[in-house]
Amino acid sequence: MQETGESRAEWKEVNELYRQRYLKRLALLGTISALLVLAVLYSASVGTAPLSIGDVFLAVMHNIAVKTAGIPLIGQLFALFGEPQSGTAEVIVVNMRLPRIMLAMLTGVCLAVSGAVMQGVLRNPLVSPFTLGLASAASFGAAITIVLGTGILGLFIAGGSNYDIIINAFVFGLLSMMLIYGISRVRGTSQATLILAGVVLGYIFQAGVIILKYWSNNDKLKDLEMWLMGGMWGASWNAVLILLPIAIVCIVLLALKAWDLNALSAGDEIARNLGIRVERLRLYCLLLATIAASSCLAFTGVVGFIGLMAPHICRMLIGNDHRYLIPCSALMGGLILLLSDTFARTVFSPLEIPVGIIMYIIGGIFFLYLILRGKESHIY
Amino acid sequence: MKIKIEGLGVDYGAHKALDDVSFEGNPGEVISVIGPNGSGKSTLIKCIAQVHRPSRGTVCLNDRDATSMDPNEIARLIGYVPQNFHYLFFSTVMETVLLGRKPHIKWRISPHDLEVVQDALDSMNIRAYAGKFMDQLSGGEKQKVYIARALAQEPELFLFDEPTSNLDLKHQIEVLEITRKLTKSRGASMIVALHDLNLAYTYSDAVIVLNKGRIYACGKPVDVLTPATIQAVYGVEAMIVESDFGRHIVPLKVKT
Repeated sequence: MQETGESRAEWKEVNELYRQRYLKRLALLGTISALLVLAVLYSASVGTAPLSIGDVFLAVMHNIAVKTAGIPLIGQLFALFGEPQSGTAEVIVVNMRLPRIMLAMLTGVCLAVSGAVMQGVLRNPLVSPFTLGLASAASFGAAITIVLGTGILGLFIAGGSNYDIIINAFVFGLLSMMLIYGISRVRGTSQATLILAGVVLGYIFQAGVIILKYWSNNDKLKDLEMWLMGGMWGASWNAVLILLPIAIVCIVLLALKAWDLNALSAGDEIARNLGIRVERLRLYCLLLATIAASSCLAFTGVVGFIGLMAPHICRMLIGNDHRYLIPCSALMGGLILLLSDTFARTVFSPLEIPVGIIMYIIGGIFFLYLILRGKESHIY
Repeated sequence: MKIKIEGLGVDYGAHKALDDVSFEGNPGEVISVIGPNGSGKSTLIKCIAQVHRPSRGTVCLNDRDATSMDPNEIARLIGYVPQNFHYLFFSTVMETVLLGRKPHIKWRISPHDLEVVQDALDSMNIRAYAGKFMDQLSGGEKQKVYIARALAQEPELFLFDEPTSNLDLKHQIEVLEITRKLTKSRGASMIVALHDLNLAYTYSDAVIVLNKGRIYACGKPVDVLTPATIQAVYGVEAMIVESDFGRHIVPLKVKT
């Protein structure tokens, strides 16, 4: 151990250091939030029919004014803003772009938070909703409905709406977690067991998807492939209204476990010594992370890498303290996926490419960069 | 803290890792646990820390059965530093030591918590590293950080599993001297698994010699650490040398 040149008197006060870190982190969260707001405004203004950001703002305000017209004060307040210049702006922004923006953000938020929590709980930076077999299971669920035209237990009949695909994908996503839970009841909840179980289940479900692909005809194969590529086509206010409460509840419950997750990252034994019921915490967090991730995946199809990349970036930016890491991952996930989806729908406009493909490209490049950059990866 | 261990046993299948271990400890006492590899030192420490559930026997802390206590209550009583630990790659030294405050806080960190952390860092002479990341430290520095974490926990019982295994000579002595002094001044207790017989002799009030999961000998260092015991447990011939600085155990050769 080398002696440091500083004398004791020059050592930094811990409370000063803590305050510095705290302010830095707040500034970082503020910056990402601001970027997210800008990204939303930008995304709402670009597309086949470009709008000015002012019009986007007025369109939203006018829409709220119309909806709240009956309420005194609030309705009048929003009515002050007036109408957008472009007559179609309100329909385009409120009915088409905003739901899609919301869905992209929510998906990014949920996948990133669930990735961050899974990485923390299993102390493995390469874990994500995908390594644990969740995406494969959800794909299998969707594939069953798309190809065989039947939902879970045959209760739902395909064709009526997309909801049977969504429900089936969600149910199978949860099922993967239940299976992992079952395995852990037999073999214990060590990280190795859980990761291995997830990987193995992922392969089995993937095999199921391939069998279903083999059986399916051209039309269904196209539908299935589109689902597997992942995209925000399913965006609607209904989807947002279903996902929003699920996302909020799951993320708040997970964020409340931040201290426990911090302790767990020091190892099972130290976590136990700090008063944490390790097995219970692991399963609780994995279950909530699975619910959040699979409910989003059910609507969007497979959107990879975001659950791996966003927490990774945030760990480098803000550190391992889950009190900041979870909100940071949420914002970062929302930001990255929103920008990617905006890019996906505008780059070859009016043609769209699935955002899932964009994520594979960005994710691949990001991890190549990490490998080339080497070990020194603390930014903050 | 008053500690009473009675009939502690741990089975791994048919293998008895610990069997019929009983002893008592009083406030302010430093107890070393020594014995060959695989003699059950770590298992004993883990059982007392309530990290590992024993197959038989009881651990009483301040006259209360530990199994009936709430995990958070135990966390405020026992500070445990395991032999193998995971490194928090993206955590700073300050954050790692701050983990020790977990049993005392709900969410917010108070100025008092930060003071305790600072004191812990100062006791281990590592405040200069406070802002460094754990993966930028050497093995010995990490070990001191983990001990500081246990200090920040402000427990009544320190359980250290080979706390000096990664340290050089100077820091071995430093760590044991500091922890012993803190144990005495806080009226706490310390149970420490050690490999070095001379360190055990110098820094402990009582020594427990484990052999194949059972207590072979137990008592004051001067009574327990004899050539006969060392030969019986380790299979090594040793002699005791008296000098102006005290008694020294000198291992000679493997007994054939």
